[in-house]
Amino acid sequence: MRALYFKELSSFLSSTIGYVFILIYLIASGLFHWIMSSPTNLLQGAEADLIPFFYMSPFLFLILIPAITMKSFAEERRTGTIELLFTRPISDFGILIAKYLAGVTLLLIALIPTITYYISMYYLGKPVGIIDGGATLTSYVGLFLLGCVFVAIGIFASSITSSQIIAFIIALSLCWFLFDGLNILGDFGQFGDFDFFIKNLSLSYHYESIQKGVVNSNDLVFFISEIFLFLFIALTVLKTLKR
Amino acid sequence: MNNKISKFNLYQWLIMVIILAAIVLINVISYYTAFKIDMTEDQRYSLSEGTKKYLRGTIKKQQAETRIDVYLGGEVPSELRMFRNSIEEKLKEFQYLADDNIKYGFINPSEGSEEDQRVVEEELINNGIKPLYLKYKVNSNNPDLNIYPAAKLTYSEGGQMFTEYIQLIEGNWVPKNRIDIQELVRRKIIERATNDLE
Repeated sequence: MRALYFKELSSFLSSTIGYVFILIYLIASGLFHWIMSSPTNLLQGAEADLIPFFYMSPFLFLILIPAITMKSFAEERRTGTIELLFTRPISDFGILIAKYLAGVTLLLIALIPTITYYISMYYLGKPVGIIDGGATLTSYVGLFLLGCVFVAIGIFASSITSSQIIAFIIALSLCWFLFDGLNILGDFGQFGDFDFFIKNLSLSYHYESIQKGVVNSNDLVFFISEIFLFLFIALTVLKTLKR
Repeated sequence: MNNKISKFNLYQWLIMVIILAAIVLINVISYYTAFKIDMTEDQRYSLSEGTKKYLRGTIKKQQAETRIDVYLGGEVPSELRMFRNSIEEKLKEFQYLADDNIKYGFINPSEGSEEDQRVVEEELINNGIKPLYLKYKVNSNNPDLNIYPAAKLTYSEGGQMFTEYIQLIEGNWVPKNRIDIQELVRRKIIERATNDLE
């Protein structure tokens, strides 16, 4: 499993795809938060916080994460190398987790440089250090968990098809639906008492809740169970393929 | 593809259904047994020390029976439902700290006959509570919603019963601006409740 993990990771980092992901993410968020004059500009904001950054990042992830995960199983299915992988002395679960963790690692690599945003805001605040460190920390945890859910959805989408493009589109729409779509659906007021239930199912509801700076146990449980859910469906799909 | 679905696969899919059910169950359980840690530096989402001290000390000692009724019962839009949940959370904490000397309940103002409803409405309006007229974007036959964002506080002091009405949200409020108002309201509840009870 470890060998496969390193192989997956190096396939990201030795080709352009990993660098494109990291660079596009950093360039886009850098432009939106520091250079362009937009509502998400951190320097023009009245308060020393990173709220625009945590508002913007999920939408960048929404597009970029399906792009890095779309290859994982779809490509193996298309070229038939998945049969080779099955004959290796590694469990199906091991294959899945190796590919998943490689995606998560890439996500982490992209997130780490943004700590400079926090450091900048820390010193730009007046007085220095006015930024709420606790709330920023929980927001980072929330953003990371959200990214992990997106990776799991991407892996799942990649496992059900042998076309990368289809995997990308399915992952993108599923991520958006679970993140924002359910929230919008709950706002319509069509379902009476179920509105609140539907909103509760959306990722953005739990993401906003953790962003406030309060770690709520059911938000964490929700994120983790969502990750498990999609990985497990992907595993079932893999086992079905094997036959 | 059909002949490929063997017993083995059926078994796999069955496990998946079981896992799915387990995940749903875990989430339901965690929803009801939620605990939270306030990580903000100014402890924005926790009760202040003064309030805690007051609830633990004075109310507990005096055995002052206090009752808080919030007029947000019944069916409310999801935005207000979140607001109601946060109130309930706060009140639960109050109750816990005051050792059950604080009781709370939710009243549905649009319950019962029209006569009952009018009595409640008049009671609230006469006590200076402004109703909240909302345009709720439901496509049903009842798009306008009248909400009474108010709480009735009943407490005894020196053997006498006092009743006070508190407006939780100012009249004419747009449901989109939820979070700011929620905070404002929360602070207000705590402050008012603390001051009034003293």
